Amino acid sequence: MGSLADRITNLIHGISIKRQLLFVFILTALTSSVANFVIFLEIDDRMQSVDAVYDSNEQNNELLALVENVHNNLTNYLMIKSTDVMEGYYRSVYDITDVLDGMDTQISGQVAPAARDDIKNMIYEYLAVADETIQGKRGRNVEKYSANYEEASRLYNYIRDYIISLNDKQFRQNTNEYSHLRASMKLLEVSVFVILGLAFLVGIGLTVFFTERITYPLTDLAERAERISEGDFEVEIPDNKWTYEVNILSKAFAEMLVSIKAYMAREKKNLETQRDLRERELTMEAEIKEARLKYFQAQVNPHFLFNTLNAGMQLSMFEGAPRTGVFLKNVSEFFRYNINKDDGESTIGEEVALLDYYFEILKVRFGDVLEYVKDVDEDLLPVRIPKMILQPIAENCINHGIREAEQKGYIYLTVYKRDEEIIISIADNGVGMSRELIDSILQGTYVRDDSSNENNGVGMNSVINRLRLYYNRDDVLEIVSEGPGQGTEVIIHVQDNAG
Amino acid sequence: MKTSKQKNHFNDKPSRIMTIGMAVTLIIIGVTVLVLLFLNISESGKDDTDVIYDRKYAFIANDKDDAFVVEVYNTAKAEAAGKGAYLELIGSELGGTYTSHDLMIMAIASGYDAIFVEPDDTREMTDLINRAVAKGIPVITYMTDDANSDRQCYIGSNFYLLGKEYGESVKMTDRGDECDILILIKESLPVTSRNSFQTSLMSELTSDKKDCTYNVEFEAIDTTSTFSVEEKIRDILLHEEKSADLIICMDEITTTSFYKALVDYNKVGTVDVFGYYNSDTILKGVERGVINSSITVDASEMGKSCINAIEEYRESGYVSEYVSVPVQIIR
Repeated sequence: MGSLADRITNLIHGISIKRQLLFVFILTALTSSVANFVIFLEIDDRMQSVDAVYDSNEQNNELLALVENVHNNLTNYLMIKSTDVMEGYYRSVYDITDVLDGMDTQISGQVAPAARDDIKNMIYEYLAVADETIQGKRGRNVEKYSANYEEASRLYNYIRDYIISLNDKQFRQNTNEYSHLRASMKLLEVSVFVILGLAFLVGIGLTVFFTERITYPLTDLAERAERISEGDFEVEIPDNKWTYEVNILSKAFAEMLVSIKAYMAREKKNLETQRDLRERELTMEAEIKEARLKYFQAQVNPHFLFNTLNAGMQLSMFEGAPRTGVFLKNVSEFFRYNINKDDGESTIGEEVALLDYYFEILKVRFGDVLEYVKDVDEDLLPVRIPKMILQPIAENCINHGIREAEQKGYIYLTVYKRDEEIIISIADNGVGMSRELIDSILQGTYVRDDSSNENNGVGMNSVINRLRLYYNRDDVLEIVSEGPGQGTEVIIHVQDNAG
Repeated sequence: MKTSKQKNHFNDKPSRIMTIGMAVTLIIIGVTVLVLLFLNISESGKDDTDVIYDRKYAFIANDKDDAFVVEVYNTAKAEAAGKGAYLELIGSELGGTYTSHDLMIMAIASGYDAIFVEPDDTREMTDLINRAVAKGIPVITYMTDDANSDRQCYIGSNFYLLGKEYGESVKMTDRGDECDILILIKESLPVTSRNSFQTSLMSELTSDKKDCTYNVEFEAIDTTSTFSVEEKIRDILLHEEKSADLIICMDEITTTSFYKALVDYNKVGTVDVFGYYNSDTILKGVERGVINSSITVDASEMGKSCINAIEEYRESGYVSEYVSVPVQIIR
């Protein structure tokens, strides 16, 4: 039973709505048609049985009438002896013989099995005697035809009694049969009612079931679509294999939903990245602007100063003081770098050059007390880095490391490549730094005295923030110091763009 | 919003719904088939065309209500059916009252293949038997014989033997020096049978008690006429001046009627009664002592012998003229 159901279900699975509807209509129509057809056949059969119930009685009555007709004609002929009566007699004999010849006299059945055969034989016997009677009458043999007529009459009475008895017996039997048929018709009536009722219920059931079956997936899909349109992309699209069209629609819808969700995730990620980039860009711009502002605040009208320095350089050349001229040129180049570069980016080479100018200027100020030593990999000079990074670090080294030391100060600049990184190291042999100070500087919590005139305005905080934003990593800069008196090394880990 | 249960209902277990649907459909088909089967079985119960017979035999009884005759007929009918023949009790379904002569004429005219008849010792019956035989219809007599006719065979008890058996029973009663015996016989009993019976009875009675005088008288009763048996017995018991000491009833109807009359008229013990046949009523009479004894011929054996005889005749063209049926005394 179960496997048959599965087999039929599999047959129906995945077929089109049109075929499913046809299947439902044909199935329901077939159910009621078969029920009606079977009932019709049964009713027809019963009706035929009812019609045939009294057939035997009718045949008996017909036979009795024919026998009576023959005997009446015989009697009339004996009394009247006319040609008309004679003709009537022979016609009646012909009629009854015709019926007798077609009579079924099989000895069978429960109601007087031999009766019809008896009647048939007796009628033939009667007709033989009647014929002899006629012959006797024609020959005017009164004794003969009287005796024959008496025998014929006796036989006639026997036949009559036989037919009436058979008729009566068959009538009783037929009445029983009729009653039985009536009862059976009554039963059939109830059965028809029950069968048609059941067929109706099955039809309704099948229609409701299949209608629900066909429409539910569509309704369900519509509801889910509505939820999606309201922004709920977590809706699950069930796999519906029942209906071909809905199955296709469900699959397409599910795939579309997956695509939409993937697209939205991508878009969200892009937006987040762009927002992050933009945020960093804005912060960097703000930092640069802040550095530049501080620079401008520190140097009122740098163009004027720059032009003034150039004029001083030309004057010193003109008056025969070349060292002064070189000094002023270095100062002038130092400020030119700060003024010209405007996009927040520079190269290692430019930063190193700025540092060179800076130390040339300081050399005039400090003489041999300060020594600048550099070891730079020439190949790395074009690598782009944020602007104004190295000089503020070197300045901090001088102001806080070397100036407070008693021995000769050394500033070491080293640029080299290690693994995938470019290392820019600025080290001093100054007073060194404590761990706490290093941590506070790296965490941005260190507050220094900005009133010092020695600072050009760009502090370590700015350098660290810009480096972190530019390279999007916190450990881009590290400060290493072995302790007080051990000097300090600031190491910048630059990602090799070329790599 | 549909629940997950509904989802399962539609997507995971469709076969369950299909199973229910198919089960309902099958129930309808089953109900339809069962109902129609029941109706057809009910209808087939009345079907009367199950057996077809090859030939028909006529059974003519002087008294179709006689239990003995009915048993003979029923046995013979069953035996005949087993051999493919239908045995008709002629006249049983007819409205009018017909004599055995009328029934013989009907049987001859109806073209029966054989006739079993209980002849009535009349010339007319002999002629009818001869007429049937002349038309090629074999005739077998039972119960009583018509030895003068052309009948093929007689099946029944020997009346001489019956007389001897009754004589033995009567001898067992002590009736002194003189005993009046009244023998009630059917009107149809042939004289030859009567004489044979009387001779053997007297011979048996006088064989031991030669000094006793037995007065034997026959009373013929028309058993076919309605109430005639009862009236005759009433007359014998109540109105006759000198009633018999001993009554011998030679058939079942007379025995039963006499037994009932003795009880009804409170005459039990006034007369010794010797009956015939072993119906329930008669057996009860014997048991109560109202009937001294009863003699019966084996009705079943007689019925079977009738059919066997005619079948033997059909097959070989010959059959014994007399087939004896054993008798039994019930005390």
